[in-house]
Amino acid sequence: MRRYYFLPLGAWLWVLLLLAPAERAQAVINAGLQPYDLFTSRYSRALVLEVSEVDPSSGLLKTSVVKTYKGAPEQETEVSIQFDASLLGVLADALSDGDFQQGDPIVVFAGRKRAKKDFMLYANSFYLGKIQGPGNWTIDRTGQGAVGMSGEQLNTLAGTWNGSTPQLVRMLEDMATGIDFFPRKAYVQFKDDILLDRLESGITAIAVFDIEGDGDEDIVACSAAGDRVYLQTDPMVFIDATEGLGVASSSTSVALADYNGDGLNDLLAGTDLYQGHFQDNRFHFVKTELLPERSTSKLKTATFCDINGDGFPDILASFVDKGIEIYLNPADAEKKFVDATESMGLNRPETGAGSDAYVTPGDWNGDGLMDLFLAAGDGYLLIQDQDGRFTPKPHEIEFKFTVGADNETGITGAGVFMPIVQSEALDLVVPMEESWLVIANNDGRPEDVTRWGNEISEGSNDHLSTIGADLNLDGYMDLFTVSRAPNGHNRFIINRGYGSFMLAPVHRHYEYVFRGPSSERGGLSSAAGDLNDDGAPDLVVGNSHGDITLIINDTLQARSPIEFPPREIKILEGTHLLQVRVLGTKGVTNARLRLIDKADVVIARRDLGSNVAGGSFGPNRVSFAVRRPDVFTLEVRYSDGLIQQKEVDLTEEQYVSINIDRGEDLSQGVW
Amino acid sequence: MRKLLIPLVTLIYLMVGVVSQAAEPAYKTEVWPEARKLFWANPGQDGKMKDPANWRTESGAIAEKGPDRNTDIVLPASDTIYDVEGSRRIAIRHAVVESGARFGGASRNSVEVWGNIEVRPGGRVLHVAIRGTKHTFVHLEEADFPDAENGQRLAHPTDRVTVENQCRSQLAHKFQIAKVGRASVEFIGNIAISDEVMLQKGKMIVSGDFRWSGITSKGSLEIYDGAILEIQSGGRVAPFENSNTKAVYNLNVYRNGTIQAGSPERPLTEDAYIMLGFAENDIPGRSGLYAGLGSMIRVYTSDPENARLIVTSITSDPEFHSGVGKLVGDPDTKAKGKTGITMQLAGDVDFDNTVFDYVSKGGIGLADPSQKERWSNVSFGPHCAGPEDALFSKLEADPNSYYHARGDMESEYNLTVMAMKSMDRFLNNNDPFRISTSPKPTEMRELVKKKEKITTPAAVIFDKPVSVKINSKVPGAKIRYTTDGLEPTKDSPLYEGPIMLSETTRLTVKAYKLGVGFSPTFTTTYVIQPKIAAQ
Repeated sequence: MRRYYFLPLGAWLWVLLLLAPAERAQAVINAGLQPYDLFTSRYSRALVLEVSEVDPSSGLLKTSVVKTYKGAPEQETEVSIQFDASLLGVLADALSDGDFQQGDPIVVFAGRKRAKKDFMLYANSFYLGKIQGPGNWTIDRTGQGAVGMSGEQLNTLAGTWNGSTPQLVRMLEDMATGIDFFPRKAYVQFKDDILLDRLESGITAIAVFDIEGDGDEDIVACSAAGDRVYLQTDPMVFIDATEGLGVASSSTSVALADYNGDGLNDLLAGTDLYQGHFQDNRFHFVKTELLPERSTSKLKTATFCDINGDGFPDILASFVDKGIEIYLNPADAEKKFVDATESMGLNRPETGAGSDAYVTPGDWNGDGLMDLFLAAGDGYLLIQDQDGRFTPKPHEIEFKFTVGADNETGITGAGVFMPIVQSEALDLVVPMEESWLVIANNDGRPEDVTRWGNEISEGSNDHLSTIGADLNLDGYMDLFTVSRAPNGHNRFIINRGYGSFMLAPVHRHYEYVFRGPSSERGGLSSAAGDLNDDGAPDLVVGNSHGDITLIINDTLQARSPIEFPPREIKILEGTHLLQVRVLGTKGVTNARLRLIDKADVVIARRDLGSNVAGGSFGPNRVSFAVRRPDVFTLEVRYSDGLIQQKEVDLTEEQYVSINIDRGEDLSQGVW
Repeated sequence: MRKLLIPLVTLIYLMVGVVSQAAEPAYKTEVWPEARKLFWANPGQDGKMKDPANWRTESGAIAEKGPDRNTDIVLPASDTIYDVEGSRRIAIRHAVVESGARFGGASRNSVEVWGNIEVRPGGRVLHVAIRGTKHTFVHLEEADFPDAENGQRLAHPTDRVTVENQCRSQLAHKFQIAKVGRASVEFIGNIAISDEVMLQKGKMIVSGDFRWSGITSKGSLEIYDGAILEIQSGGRVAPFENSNTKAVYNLNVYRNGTIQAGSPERPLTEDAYIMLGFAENDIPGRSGLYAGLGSMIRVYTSDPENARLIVTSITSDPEFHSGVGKLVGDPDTKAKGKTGITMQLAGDVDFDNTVFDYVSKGGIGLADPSQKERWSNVSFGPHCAGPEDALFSKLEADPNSYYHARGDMESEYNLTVMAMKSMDRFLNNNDPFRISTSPKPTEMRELVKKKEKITTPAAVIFDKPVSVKINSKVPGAKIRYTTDGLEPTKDSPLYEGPIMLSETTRLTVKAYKLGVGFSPTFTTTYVIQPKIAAQ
């Protein structure tokens, strides 16, 4: 824990800050003062130094100028920074926290308009000082933000930037080229809740998926009172077609995929596997007996997931007190799935066998094979090798998956792999009882970067599962977490980019974010998908009251052009949407989509089959919000390795919707 | 004109005709699922259709609810005439109407019929509209047209006509047909419409005698939005009146509409007739046929000598009577000067295998004078107003129009909009494909007429080749298309990317996807005419 010396009784004040209720979070992000303001208007120079030498005893820091982003390059190439004697303890503490290490970058904003010798330095924390002469600087104050006991702001730098220095450097680079985007507000809005149905028991899982393939997303809701299937027969008209489709099950999880490669979607409801059929011009399901003997343990979740990368969806299941089980798809519609739990090394205690936990799939190391995170014990990041065996990856991250005074297990931890820190690799977000952990993928090494995430650490209760989607259509993947408490607050966390987050309702820009009431009635399940086909992902939430609520994203409407828009809104108004539906008989379930610019840089990545850890399921369609419309290459890597590419021109239309397929003919001679 | 040349297309139709002569009417091939059947509970007693108490089920129980789009109704025979009153909110599937029973609405298009209508002798149906996805028929058995002998006359909805004078062949006043894709309705026997007919989407097949504008002189038969009027062997279409004061053509086809005599799958085996009013054409549109941009006219025959399209005057039939029973027929009357039948043709018109008679001087106005050079096996009857060359003239009408010179367009247009809303509600429920093309081949056009103003679609005229994209809402749908007006089959070209069209083209599209099935057939026309665009 970082200590703060600039305050009397600073340590316990910081404790108070951490324990402050969510409303106090408004103080964490200072929307009125952001790096962009420092860069554009407050300071005449912006540069990056690199630490070459530090003497803790004298407080002398030797640096070299690496890059000047703003202002004329000065004569000085070397800068010595002398810490005031009163701050030697601060420096020592920073060093012990790993700051000011040799080779570390330091961001400097220098030359205030009314005090040209003033500078502000950021090295994972703010420091203020004066330029005494060329290459001779002094630091006499820290600028760490904090909140006083009565809530007053003690330092105007609070919330200016709380991220890591490398991320600020990255932002500086983007600012210098005018492509930065770091929103001060949550530019997002949802319509009034639509109560689709109310069942007699809690909704434990939700699927948003185009079941028959007509292009409109349908909904499956699971509950102890029976699973229900709602087909979207008309725009935003959902018909309960459960009986007509031949579904009769009561499940805790749901998934859809074409497991047998016949071109028709199949349904996995709990451990009931239904096969899609099309006869007499009618789509319906027929229950199969193709799963291995049902485990005597209670099922937690089961989902389609292409574990072995052959393109055929396997089944990834988690059982109470048993841990993970994997049933491999035999790639033969007539044969049974094969229990591969043991052969893949998942029956061992070191891979979490015997635990009661949610399991999250994702390709952590980018080798094309599915890896897993099991939310039990100290957290199992299970890496699959080329032989198909899972091995836990060592880490030092302090996961905690027990809940309440009784340390209940199996209640929280249903997370999601998704790109956060960088656009190409998958990071990991895991909900815990009262917070989230953001685990950055540092070339395969898991690194807890939660502390840089601003309000990601703000409290909530009873977090159950988290899904990722770009709900505010700014290009960054956001988080939505249901709270299992009957009247809990479901949390919507905006990803601001550069490793920073904020609570959407707290920092709302429009009159409201959610109009309720579902956002305050907790949830057992949630799924995101574009129900009304406008390009914006919507939410479906199922709660313990049996409510199935559609929360339709109204952000695009709210973004109608206004006169003289502020910079951020102007950028959002100019954002274009690309929606991609991935089609095919193989490899769709965990297909990876990447949008690549002309410089061959991956500007965004989306992975199908990500939001499944809580037992719910998302569509085979994703949205990319592109802030700088251009001509891109869309690359789809099917999970069996087939790569399809398509050039997409996003410069003209504000919303482009395309399909990517494997080039198959599915008409079976009919057409 | 290449009268003696039989082009390849005719040969193909001849060949098709040989194998297709036995083709069944489409309605005979239709398969209907089981449906609820309701019987009028008290034959001989009037009542409202919507009241469940008026209906009995097949088991004899009182119905729990009135008929709907999936209900067949039977109105049993009765010695006492009884009226079954519908309303605009009611739709039914099949109707069997026996002697003494009369059903329908109180006014225009009151009951939507989605299935077959069988009216037995002595029964009557009035004020209905045709909808649906399947091939159906309307058969009014032993229904006569008005004439001097029977004393019958057509009735306006506000008229009070005694039972003896009522005409059983009258099916509607303003009549609308809107079916999905190429689903057809075949009219068998005598059918009379007292005002106008709007055929939007779907196919109307006339194998009997179909007449309109019986008590007003301004009604016309309008064919548009992908609709097809098919005149079958022996069939006749005709207005009841020779001329009108509103300058409205008898028969208007435009904006993706088609008139065809016979069809590729069911070519003519005997003559078919388009009969037009015989009028003094002081201004265009006193009578006649208008084919606007985006329209198509074709003749499909299995016997070019004996099975042709006859375009003639209603006066050619000595027994032809008006809607109020006055004699119109006078076959000896000859066209002279501007008096006779007329046509204004701007669409894709091929009058192959056609006989024209009673044509006025310059009565065939062509947007493209060279158009007639493409027609084959064309002849002219003895009642025309001069030699062949004198019968052709340059088009005088607006080539891209909707109703013409009408003072009351708004009411008709509103009915059109209303009918389409009804169909759209159905299509949205049942057509997940929602096929469309871009760029759009029609655009909204504002028509100003006196105090009235309506905005209607009109064909877009492209002045250069156009790259056409076909869109379907169903992802991964396999789309096939034709450019010759024929129904796409699995052998038709597969849509794989934008299609370059360099001349006016009728694009017919159909899609399929496993799990979803077939789409309705979608038809649209791209009008590409550099000359007209330049004007």
